[in-house]
Parts: sequence; structure tokens; C-alpha cells
Amino acid sequence: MNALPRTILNTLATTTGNAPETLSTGGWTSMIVSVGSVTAIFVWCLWRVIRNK
Amino acid sequence: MGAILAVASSAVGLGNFLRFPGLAAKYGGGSFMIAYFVSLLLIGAPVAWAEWTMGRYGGRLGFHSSPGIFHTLLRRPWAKYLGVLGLAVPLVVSMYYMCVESWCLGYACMALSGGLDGVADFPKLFAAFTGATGDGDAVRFSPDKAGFFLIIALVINLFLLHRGISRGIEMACRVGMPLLIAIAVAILVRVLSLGTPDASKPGQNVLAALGFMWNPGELSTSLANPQLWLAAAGQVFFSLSVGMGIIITYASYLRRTDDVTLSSVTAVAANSFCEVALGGMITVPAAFLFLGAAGVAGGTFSLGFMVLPSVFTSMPAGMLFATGFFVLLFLAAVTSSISILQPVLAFLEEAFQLRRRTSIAWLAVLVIIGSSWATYFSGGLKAIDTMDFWVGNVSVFMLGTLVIVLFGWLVGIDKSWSEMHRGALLRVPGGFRLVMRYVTPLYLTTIFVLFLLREMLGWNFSLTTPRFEPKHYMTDLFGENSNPVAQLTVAFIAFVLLSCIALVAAGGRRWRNKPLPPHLRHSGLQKKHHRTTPPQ
Repeated sequence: MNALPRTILNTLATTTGNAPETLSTGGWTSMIVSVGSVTAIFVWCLWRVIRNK
Repeated sequence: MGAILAVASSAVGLGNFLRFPGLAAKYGGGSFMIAYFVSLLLIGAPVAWAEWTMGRYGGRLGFHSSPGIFHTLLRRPWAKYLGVLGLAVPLVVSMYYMCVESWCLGYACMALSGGLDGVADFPKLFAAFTGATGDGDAVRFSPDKAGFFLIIALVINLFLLHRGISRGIEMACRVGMPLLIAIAVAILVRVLSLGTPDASKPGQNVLAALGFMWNPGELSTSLANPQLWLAAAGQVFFSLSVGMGIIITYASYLRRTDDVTLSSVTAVAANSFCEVALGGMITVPAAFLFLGAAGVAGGTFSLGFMVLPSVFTSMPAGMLFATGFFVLLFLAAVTSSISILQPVLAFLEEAFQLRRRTSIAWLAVLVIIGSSWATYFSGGLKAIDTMDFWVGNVSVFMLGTLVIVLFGWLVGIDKSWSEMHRGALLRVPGGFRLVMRYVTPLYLTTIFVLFLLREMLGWNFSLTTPRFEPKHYMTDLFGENSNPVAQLTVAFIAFVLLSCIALVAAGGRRWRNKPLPPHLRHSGLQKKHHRTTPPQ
């Protein structure tokens, strides 16, 4: 929740780095693993909660 | 399910869609995610388990606020004062959060009415709208000023609170959360299907945008950077709504044998899903697609209120998506703010035996005073910034650390662990006993000290050539360049804190002799700590 003005104002202030030309293998891996794992855990938890309701 | 929804709704807020993507892009998505998951395991989940457990335990004894629950956990005269932060933090946070909520509502209305279309200078629009141009500039009854939308946001919040927990808060979360996710998915599909929006800039395509967000960079170098770990831990901690007294309050409405372990993980997972799978795939990639790396990097002002509106104006059917995006932010903010206010209401009701309507009236007065303060002293957004730092960051860290120390040490890990697993639908691996007793308190304290050294004293994180350049949170308060608004705001926060201490002292007198329900007189934690029950 706590993303507030200070962070809103400053978070991207120092975002740096060169623009990539594409999504690298490491990028694909980190994206799929990160997004996949949080989605899988969320769905699994929801399923467990609903099943035990 | 209601408690899970309420906690998840309070956690999912602007940080998921604005702060997380910014940090992940800054530190290289892959590297940041390693630190993020480690922090989630060592800080996020343990503190959340502790809060859920304590809340449910206090609820069995008829307490629903942190002061009451800490009182009943330890049964010492001073114990209730440990919970003062669980009252003051949500109260002050709600005061300035309401202002940010009004910005989201205002931008949603502007997008819907076409007011964002054709705007050439979004930073100027943002400054004029929020009153960042000068104190008092936002306080006008006009739809181009935040003050106007603050009134509407306050009315919506108080109305939902007035309807009660199940018909107001739970209903809002039940409708708001799925709607929020649906809107986010719709925007996500749109962003990922944009291809190369400007044919003259072939480098700004979807794959490059995702690369900007997720490419890990040099892993070994990134992971050796302490700021990365500090940022990830801060994101996990602040994003989950732990250390705010919110989870404790909602868990206190559970029954004695209701699960807390799976519920807690579900709420944490919902929050992570929103920030990683939705926020991480939308915000920064969208900004990169239209503005490139420089556009994203160059913003000293907000991603949400300056960069993205500019992106939406360049996008086909952009105003439709802009409306959707700001409605999404507003929904996230409303579900958070009504949850934030519940701990204060619970305290007023249980400490002074006030009816809900009377409690809401008192709460309304307090929140209106605080949010008016934050809206009036809007020059440079100084009041909001000061409140956010001292309460939304520093105090939250303190309360979170206190909760885990209480769980692992003051109450005792064995009793806490056994209480946590009462009715559990998920068996937490035994290794977490050690984590919750030793690792989490140590990790949290380290992060807190580093946070203070960086944000207050401006340490450069070098041990060999340390350099300290006090940041504005210090210089605003002391020295030649002090800022009267920051000083007044800190004095205001201190006044709120002292008032909370006085309220806890007054309300706590009623608890001293409150008898325990018969079934608890010889059970669990009470057996050791309860001093007022006469021996049987």
C-alpha cells in the first residue's frame, strides 16, 4: 500500500541504464520465473482457500 | 475470505503499480526479484503471520485494536502503550493517503471528461492540480484542484465505513479487488499488443520495453549492491501493509479456530501478484514504449501522474485507458484507505464503548483536520512528504519490528508458533521458527538502521570512504535551511502521537479489570501472562 508521494516523486528519479534492444535470455527467464511464480502461488492459495471455505 | 480480501485490498495500492515497477527497472528486474523474494520470505511472510496470529488471539478476548491486543498478550500495565503506534500510524497515514486518493479520483475524472487530452505540460498540470506550486493553491472548490476531490474522497470513505465491516468494507473489497484486477489485465493486454507504436523509433518496441523492465544486468555486481537489498526489503515491507495495525485488526474478527497461516500467505500472494504480474508488466513498459529510456529516466516527478498521462495521450484510445488506469489507482487507494481507518474505529469502539456512528463522527473530524493540513500545506508537497517519511516509513518499521519481537521473544516462539497453527490449513515449515525468532528481527533492524543512515544522514554506503550528506528530512528540521512547514508537520505528528497515548491511557483503564472468558483462563498464552485472573 504504502507507496506514497515521496516514492511516487522519487522512485524513477534516478532510473538509469542504457535502453535495451530486446528482452535478453536472462530477461525472459526473470520475467517468466517472477510472474509465473507469483501467479502460481496466488492461484494455488485461492484454490486452497475456496476449497476449504 | 472476508478478512483475506480486506487485508489484500489494504495491501494493494499505488505502490504495486508505481513504486515496484520503478524499483525493479532501476536495479535490473532479475537482480531485484532475487532480493525481493528473499525479503518476502524473511520479512514479509513472517511479520504477516505474526500479525494475523496476534490479531486472532486478541479477538478471542474481545479486543480489536493493537493497544488492546498488546495489553491482552502481555497483561502488563505498559503493554497497551506498545500498541500506540498501531493507532497513530493508520490515523496519520489515512490523513495524507486521502490526499493522494483525491489525486487519483481527480485524474480519473479529467481523463473521462477529456481534460488530459491535448495537455502539453503534465508536470505543470500536476503541480497546479495538487497545489505543489504553493501553500493553499489546492484549496479551491473547483474541479481542477485536488481540494475539490478530497471532499468527494472523504465522503466516499466515510460512507463505506458507516455501512460497517461486512456491508461497507468487505463489499467494497469484494467488488473493488476483482474490478481492479480486471482493469489491470485489460490495460496489460493493451500495452503488450502495442508492438512498435512509433514506426520512426523501431527501438521502442514491446520486447525492448520488457527488456528495460526485466533484463537482469550483471547479477553479481547488482546483488553486491546494498541499496538493492534495502530497496527490495523496503518494497516488500511497505507494500504488504504490515506494521500498520491493519492486519491485527482484521484478524481479530476471525474465530478461534479459523486459519491464519494460509490466509496470510494468500493475502501476501495477492499483493505480490498485483505488483509483479500486473504492475511490473504495465507501468514501466508502457512508459518506455512511448517515451523511451530517457523519458522514463528523466522524470523527477511521478511516473503515475506525469509520465503515464503523457503516454496515454499518445496511445490509440488513450483516454479510455487513462480513465481505466486512474480508476484502477483510485480503487486501489479506496480499498486501502477504508482498511487503514478500521483500526482507529475499532479502538474508539472498544476503549470508550462508543457506537460505530459516534466513532465515525470522531474519526471524520480527525481525518478532515489531518487531510486538510496536508492539502493546505501543499507547496512542494512538503507536508505530505514529511508525514510519509516519519509515519509511513519510520514508524511502520518500528511497529513491524515490535510485532515480530513480541511474537518471537516477549510472548515466546513456542507459544506463538502453537497459537499460529491452531486451525491452520497450511503447515509452515519448522525452519521458520528460527527465522521468526532470529533472522526477521535482525534483518528488519539492519534494514531500518541502513534506511535511517541513508534517508536521514545521507550515507554513501561506503565503509572505506564514508561520506554523510544529511538529507532534507534532517535539514528541514534543523539548521539554517529548516523548513517551517516540515517543522510544523512534525509537531503535528507529535501532537497526534501524544493524543493517542492519552487516549490509550484513558481507554486502557477499562481493560485492567476486564475478566477473561472462562474458556481462556487456563489456556495458551494467557496461562503464563495473565495476572489479573484469580487463581482457581
